[in-house]
Amino acid sequence: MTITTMTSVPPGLILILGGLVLPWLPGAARPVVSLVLPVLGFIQLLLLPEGLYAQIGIAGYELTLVRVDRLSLVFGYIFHIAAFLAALYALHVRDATQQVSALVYVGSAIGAVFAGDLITLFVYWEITALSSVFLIWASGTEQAYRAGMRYLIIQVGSGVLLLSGILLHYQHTGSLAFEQLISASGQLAGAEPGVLLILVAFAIKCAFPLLHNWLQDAYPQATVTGAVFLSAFTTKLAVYALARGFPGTEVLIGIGVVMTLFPIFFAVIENDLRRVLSYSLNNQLGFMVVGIGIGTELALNGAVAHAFVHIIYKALLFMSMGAVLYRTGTIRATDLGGLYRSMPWTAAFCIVGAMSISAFPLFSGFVAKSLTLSAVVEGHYILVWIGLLIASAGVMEHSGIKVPFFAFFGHDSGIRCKEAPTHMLLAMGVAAGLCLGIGFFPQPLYAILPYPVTYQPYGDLGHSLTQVQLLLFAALAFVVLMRTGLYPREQRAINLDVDWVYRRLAPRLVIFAMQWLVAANTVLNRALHHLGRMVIRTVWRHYGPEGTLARTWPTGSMVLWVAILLVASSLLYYA
Amino acid sequence: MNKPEKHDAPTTISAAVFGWLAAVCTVLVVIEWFVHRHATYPWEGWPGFYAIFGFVAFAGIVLLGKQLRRVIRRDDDYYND
Repeated sequence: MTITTMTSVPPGLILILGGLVLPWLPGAARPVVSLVLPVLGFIQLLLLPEGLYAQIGIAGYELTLVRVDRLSLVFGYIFHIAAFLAALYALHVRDATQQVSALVYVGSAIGAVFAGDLITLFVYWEITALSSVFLIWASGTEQAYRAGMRYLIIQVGSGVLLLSGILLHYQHTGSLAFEQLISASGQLAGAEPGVLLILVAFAIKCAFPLLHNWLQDAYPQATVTGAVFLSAFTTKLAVYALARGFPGTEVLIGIGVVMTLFPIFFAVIENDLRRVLSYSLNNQLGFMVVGIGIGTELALNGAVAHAFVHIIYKALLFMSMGAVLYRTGTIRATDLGGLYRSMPWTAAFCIVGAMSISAFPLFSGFVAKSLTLSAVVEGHYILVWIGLLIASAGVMEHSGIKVPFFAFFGHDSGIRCKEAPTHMLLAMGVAAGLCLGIGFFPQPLYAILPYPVTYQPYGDLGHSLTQVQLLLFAALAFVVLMRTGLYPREQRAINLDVDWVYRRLAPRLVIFAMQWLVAANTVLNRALHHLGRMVIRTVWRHYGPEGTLARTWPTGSMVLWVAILLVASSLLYYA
Repeated sequence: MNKPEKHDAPTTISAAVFGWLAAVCTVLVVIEWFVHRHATYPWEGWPGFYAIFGFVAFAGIVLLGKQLRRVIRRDDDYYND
């Protein structure tokens, strides 16, 4: 392939088209094709020079299907890496629906980060929603079906808001370009309504507080492999979109801090370990949103680097919990424990993921999170700094300790199962290798970030030391709470979250309103009936066969009345 | 692994693990005196600031989470779907 043919095909399209052809390939070839396509796509990115491609005019609108710059490239690289790892992990899957939807989903997410205009972004945005829901539905349970439906409604809803925002924005500015949408001041107050709608659409997909619950609702219902795919793309596409359209938007700093904090309390008491990971994902997005909100070059680098490493270790953690679910048939902390005996490799890889997300020095999370935290310190956001430090202890709690401890250690569940299949171990091994590789040698990652990096994560030994102190004393707190019995026991239970509003409150309100309407209708009917009877009865009394006005009058009385009238009129006439 | 296993034993952590972790933590605080630290905020210079912060934040999160459970905990089949 020459460079011209490479550049004439928009990135992501290779995977989408490949996915659509997949059902016609023999069953054994399909997993291999799913593995090869991300590699081809990755090579295409390496050959793509920066610039704008595929500029076309449709119905008077100028569209730029492809924009290649440093920001889109970083996300392009990591999306291809994640697609490869997830496809390797899913090598055993023979379900064509999942294979096709995974490829289309990944391809559209890649297409979206290279979209140069808002309409193209919208189209890919909606395809990611429509294709990914099949990864949830493929579980085949009633619960998965319902959760998938809620997921789809919310995701498509985000797309509808996006389109409305785009149209208003176009009306206001005459531009469809997907560039910085917020003014340089970073204030939302003066922003046009179109831009605000676009921000809300991004906020839904990025799982902002109160708009977040589709994530914890849907991801744990996805298939073993589906959750690995889902964890990587949807929310990080939203992070990309925010970094592109809303860098330096001040309100995002506060939102981001809240986002790092509130999920950790839910994660402490959650029993479904894949849901714990979903809350953890939400908390990680908060760090990125803070970085985008601060908006300096260092902070944006931090947000992007965090997204990059996060995709790998979060996929790794979802893979390890997926392997546990695959082998044992359950993912409830109450039913698990002691699995390190049966699944030592999975346990080891899970611990690497756990240490990466907790940001231990020499693991990938550390070299990314340090960028954001330095930007926070540099900008003198003291409260934000304290919030993120608490959140770091929270990450240690739910992902660093809880997930590996309750699955692989803790009390022995008695479950004896086989180790995860080889291809799953391989995928986890590569992901774990990347976590350590980036942690040891951060320079290649720093080199592809949008802005030049001078930061040295290991330049100040004291920084590494204090980070280890923070994390190990947090671990010490865990041990103390466990030994004193203060740590909350795992319980077979669910916890309410915002989804209660639309799963319980809203249906109840509708039922209540319906009952009220029916009751009101009955009362009204009865009243009308009563009124009708009264009218009929009155008419009947006067005009009915026995009524005063229908009485047959005797002739005598008529003559009498005529005589009276005559006398009266003559009196009036002569008087 | 031939030792008898108690399937429903409450989850605990052995005293040995506790001892080792406590020892490592002590060492971490001690070597603070020998490592130069670039402190931006004055309280970062306090001895053991990060250690105490980590311990207190972790314990606080867990104990607050426990209180949250009292409010939002429901049976597994609450939504009945």
